[in-house]
Amino acid sequence: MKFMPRFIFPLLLVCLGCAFPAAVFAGDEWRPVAPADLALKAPLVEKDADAEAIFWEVRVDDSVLEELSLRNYIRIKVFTDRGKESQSKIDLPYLGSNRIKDIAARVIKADGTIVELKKEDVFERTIVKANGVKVKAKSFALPGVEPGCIVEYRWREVRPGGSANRLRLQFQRDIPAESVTYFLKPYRGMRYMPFNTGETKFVNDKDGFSRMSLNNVPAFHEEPQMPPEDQVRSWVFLYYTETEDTKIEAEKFWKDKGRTFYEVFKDSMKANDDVKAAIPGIVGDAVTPEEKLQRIYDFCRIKIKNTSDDASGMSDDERKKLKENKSAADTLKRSMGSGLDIDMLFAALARAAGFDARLALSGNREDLFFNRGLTNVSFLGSSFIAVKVGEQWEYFSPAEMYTTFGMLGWPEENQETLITDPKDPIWVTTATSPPEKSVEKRTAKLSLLEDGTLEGDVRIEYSGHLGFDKKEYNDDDSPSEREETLRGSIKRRISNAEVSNIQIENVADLVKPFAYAYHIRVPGYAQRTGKRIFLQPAFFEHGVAPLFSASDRKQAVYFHYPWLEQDEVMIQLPAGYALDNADAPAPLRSAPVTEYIPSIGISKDGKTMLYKRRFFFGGGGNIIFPVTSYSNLKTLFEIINKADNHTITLKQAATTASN
Amino acid sequence: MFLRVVGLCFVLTVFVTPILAADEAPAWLQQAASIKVPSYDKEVPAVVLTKEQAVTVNEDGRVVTVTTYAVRILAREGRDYAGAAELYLTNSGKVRELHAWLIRANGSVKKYGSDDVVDRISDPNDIYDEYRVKMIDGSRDADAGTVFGYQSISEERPLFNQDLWGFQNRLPTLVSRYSLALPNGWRATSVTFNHEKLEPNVSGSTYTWELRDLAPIRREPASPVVANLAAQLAVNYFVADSGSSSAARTFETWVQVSRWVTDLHDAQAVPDATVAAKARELTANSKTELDRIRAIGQFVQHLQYISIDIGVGKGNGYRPHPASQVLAKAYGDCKDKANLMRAMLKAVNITAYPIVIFLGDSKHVREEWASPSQFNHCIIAVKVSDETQASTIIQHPALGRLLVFDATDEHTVVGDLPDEEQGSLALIVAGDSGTLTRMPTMPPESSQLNRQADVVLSAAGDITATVKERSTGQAAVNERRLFRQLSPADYKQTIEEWLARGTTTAKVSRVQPVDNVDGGFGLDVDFSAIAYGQLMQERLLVFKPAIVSRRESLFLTEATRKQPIVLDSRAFTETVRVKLPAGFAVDELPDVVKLDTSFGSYKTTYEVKNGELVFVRALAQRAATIPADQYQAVRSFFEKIRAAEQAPVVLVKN
Repeated sequence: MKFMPRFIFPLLLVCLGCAFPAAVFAGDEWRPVAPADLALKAPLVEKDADAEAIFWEVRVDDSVLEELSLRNYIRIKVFTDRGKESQSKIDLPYLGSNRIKDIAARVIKADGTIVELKKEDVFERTIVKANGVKVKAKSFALPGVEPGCIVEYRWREVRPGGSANRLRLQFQRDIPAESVTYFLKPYRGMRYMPFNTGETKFVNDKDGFSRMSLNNVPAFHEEPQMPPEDQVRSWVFLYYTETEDTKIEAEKFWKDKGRTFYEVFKDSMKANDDVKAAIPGIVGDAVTPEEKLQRIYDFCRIKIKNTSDDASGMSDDERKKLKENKSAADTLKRSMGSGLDIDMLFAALARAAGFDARLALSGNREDLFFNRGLTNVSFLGSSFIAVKVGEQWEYFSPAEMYTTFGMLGWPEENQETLITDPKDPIWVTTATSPPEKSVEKRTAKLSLLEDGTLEGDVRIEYSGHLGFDKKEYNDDDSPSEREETLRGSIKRRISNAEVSNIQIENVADLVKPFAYAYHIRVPGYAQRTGKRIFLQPAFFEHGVAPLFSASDRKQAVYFHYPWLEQDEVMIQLPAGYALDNADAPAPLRSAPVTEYIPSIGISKDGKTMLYKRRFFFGGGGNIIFPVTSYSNLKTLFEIINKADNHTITLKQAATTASN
Repeated sequence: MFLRVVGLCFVLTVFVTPILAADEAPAWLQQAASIKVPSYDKEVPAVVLTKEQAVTVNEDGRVVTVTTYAVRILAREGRDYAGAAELYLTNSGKVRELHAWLIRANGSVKKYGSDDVVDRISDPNDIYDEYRVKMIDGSRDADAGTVFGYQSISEERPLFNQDLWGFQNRLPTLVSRYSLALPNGWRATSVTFNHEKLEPNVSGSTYTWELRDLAPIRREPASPVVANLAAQLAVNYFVADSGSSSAARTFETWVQVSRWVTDLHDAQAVPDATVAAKARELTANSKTELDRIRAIGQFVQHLQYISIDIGVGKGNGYRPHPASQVLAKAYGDCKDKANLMRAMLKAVNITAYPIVIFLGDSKHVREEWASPSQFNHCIIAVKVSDETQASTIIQHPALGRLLVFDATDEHTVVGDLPDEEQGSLALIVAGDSGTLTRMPTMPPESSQLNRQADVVLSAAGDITATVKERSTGQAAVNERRLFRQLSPADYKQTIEEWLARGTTTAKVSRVQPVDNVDGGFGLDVDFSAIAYGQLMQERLLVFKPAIVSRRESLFLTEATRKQPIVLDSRAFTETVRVKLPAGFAVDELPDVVKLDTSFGSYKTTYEVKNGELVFVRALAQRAATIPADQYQAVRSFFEKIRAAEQAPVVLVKN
């Protein structure tokens, strides 16, 4: 991925002497259609595409302060009925005082016949209006669309008072494109950051515009377990800076920002007398730095109500009535505050306890993998508190209520992080937590009946990031919604499971692990033949499909965080049956990334079977895999799935059989 | 993550509304909130305290409707019911007022005013749609224990002097009332659906129908749609003697409806020179009447479906665009397509009639209420001679042999009819000859999926397999729809996911769909899978002969049932031939299963011959609505099928 910011010269000034009437270059007339395009039978960029853009052009004109103008011209070749379906209806949405103007569209059939869109066939619709705000759209259906034809349309969007600052230019669309071009005319020097666009740059064009083109751009396809869209899609981020320097030194830029942020939040994390006075009561008899920090951390999470959290029980109205906390002391006094207030209070208390605590800013892996080369604060999506313990910086975010002490949220792990400072801000990279920090611990005590029914009690506990995700998902739900979520997840893999006596524990507990406990009965879990019963001991994996099924893959494979699964399944065997084979599937290791260890044992009296399974993935922080690894990764999960589906045989004991 | 929080604080600051005084709920809502509600099952999320519509009809046909609604939220998941929504037509109606209130568990009240009203388009997918909806969303403020209520006043000039009122949705409803105030000299009649005949209370010229204490309607798999379970009222109102000043209409018979719709259609179905030329071009090589119908039907089906209705309040929702216009634009909605087909057929001397029908539930249309508003779709009946034979031909007493066809469903060929239209009551639009007619039902054998699987099993349990599927009728439509709607890559992935459900390690080497113009659909797949069978102790080899899972299954896991079970017609046969590895013999075979019930049959057989295991399974399921008291029999039927398809075969090494 390329991320170095580039600079677009103020071409407007350079080209003043050769200005033409804008309309000449604005694409107000249809361009000739190449016979080769009309004759085209198959897509050029992506095999099997239903439609393909021959060109897709947008002229972004930000040269006057009064308005931003986006002039679009798109020509698309339709190849199939699906293409006909997807390209026939056009909606051009716009907001508020923005306008859509100069719509023109036509269809050129394969024989060269042209069908123009009539003005009366363009409809203006108010999609939604509320409280004085309107979302509108201009919509039309293209006439005579059929496979083999070319459709083309153009329009201009005008945004009064709009700016190209922070505009995202999407190069990758839902259909492939032979050519995607953006023309840009800023009102002064402007910077841009390209993502996944190769070496292509903006170059000078006519009439004060710069131009950036990409050719043969495939469509954007979503895939399971892929990195965030901004990380893999081709796009460009536009922004103005305070100065028109032709070059930005990343180091200087972030040093300035690190100082500025320090100054802005300095007072918010100030340890005044009230904060200092609270420390003895919070820290108590804690001795080590870790103990002290944990008590402060727990105090901030447990004793201070987080009004930003959706499970706080506060309505929008109640939030509106809240007074603003102007300092950490205010938050302490009111025992409530926003997530930001709580982080600030934590920093203030840590300072009062003698620690060096700072605001730290990082990227957010949910959106984009941050790199300090991305010299715009928009890309610092997260913040937390860095505390120096000995010579090491440790990181805390009590604002994220369910984050275990000593961990960050997964989006902030393995991210370049700026620790603010009045003089020399510091760059660090946060660590990825190991699999042992996020554990799914599952136990089951079950009885197998002679007819193949399996019945018993189950308990599952989630810790670390797994626990965080479960708590966040469930904490805003009612008890019956939570039960329904659990039932749904069980029924998706065991459709005929009967689940009862459900207990869901520690849903909003800030310390204890999230836990499920329930009773389950599964008729026909094991298959019975005349003299044998076949049983899958990996009860928790019964009915689970392999993680990947597609044979082809376009994007890298990405897991949010490493995790560990630990299973213990005890199954009491039916009377009169004995294990015929209890061979366990082979273990599998690929250090440091993964390890899979299943084992099967039998009690001395031969009546109870114990199945154990330990599986972790993402060891060594390996959570992203290039697309070239897909085949191996798919095979790995298939082997594990196959091993999970391993069946053992019970045979009728001789005495019973002879009866 | 404070950056996001900063943003939120900003928004809250900007939009904060000063609260000047405590809000108060109106008396009717306070009274509703004071009603003691019965105790319900814990899965009932809310109870409707009052649901009332007061309709006042003016001499000039203008109708004013006051809606009053109050709901008590019983559980947190019921908070989405704390909302108001009023539909209106932009050109013939408006929502004059919409107010809502929320009474919290502690008694405090929130009033929703005009700033809280969202006015949005009813169907954002349409290019143009005159239906809009005004809404107030109280769900973010609601929780268990709160009462939400709203009152709206709407005004419209209805197209028909008819109305339909649902006494409840799925929620239990304590009081449900519909009242109709008519001008002097007007009269009303009513029909009750899903409930014994309900007589109104008449006071002067005001009619009131009321039901109380309506039980909740549970969601259960394969149950009838709620509109076929909840009590409904259909009303006609009219001037008792002739000389009505209202522009709106009412209908007493289906012939009257037929005449009205015929007037809207006939003028639009006149073929101009272009339409006629296109019809002749399409049928130039057709040898038979059925060929001509097919050629035109296929062309019309493949036009893009796009709906643009302007002037719905004046009946244009029922009037197709002129056939010539639809042909020129190459798009239209269901009535446009049926009408173009009718015009084209007329150009080649074949007579056809529109049919208006309800799409989505074959039990929806009720004979006892003649009204165009019972329909939402338009298909076509083509008059055919005795030479034409097809399962979708019906004999009409006045119009003769009619071939029924849906020109909108691009996946169902001439001679077949979409499942949800089969057996439905629909109106054949033919002026005085028009009748409400039962649509044809295809015989079960016309919609079938047959699968042949040839499998080679190795001594290690690996398999290589070739699966050939051939489907007909609506079974083929389901396959075709999937194939046509997905890109080739997505289709292949769907097939891979399907195979992976039965064979974890399946590697697909060939996917060959065959989309036959005659309506059949074929799919050939080659794949292999390692360790499909499990080798135990180097002597037993265990595998499931049902290698490929069925695509549709019904899982009935609840112990009890309240609603009838609705089953579709379905037929499936599969023959799996497994070449057994040398040196192994069959040690155990699953028991043969043979189920025969009034709603379906299922059987499995196993045969070992010449080193080959032949496994056959066959399901024939009849379309039926089975009373809830027979639930255990239905559940057991599907449970036994599920078990049979999991049953393993055991081979032993010689």
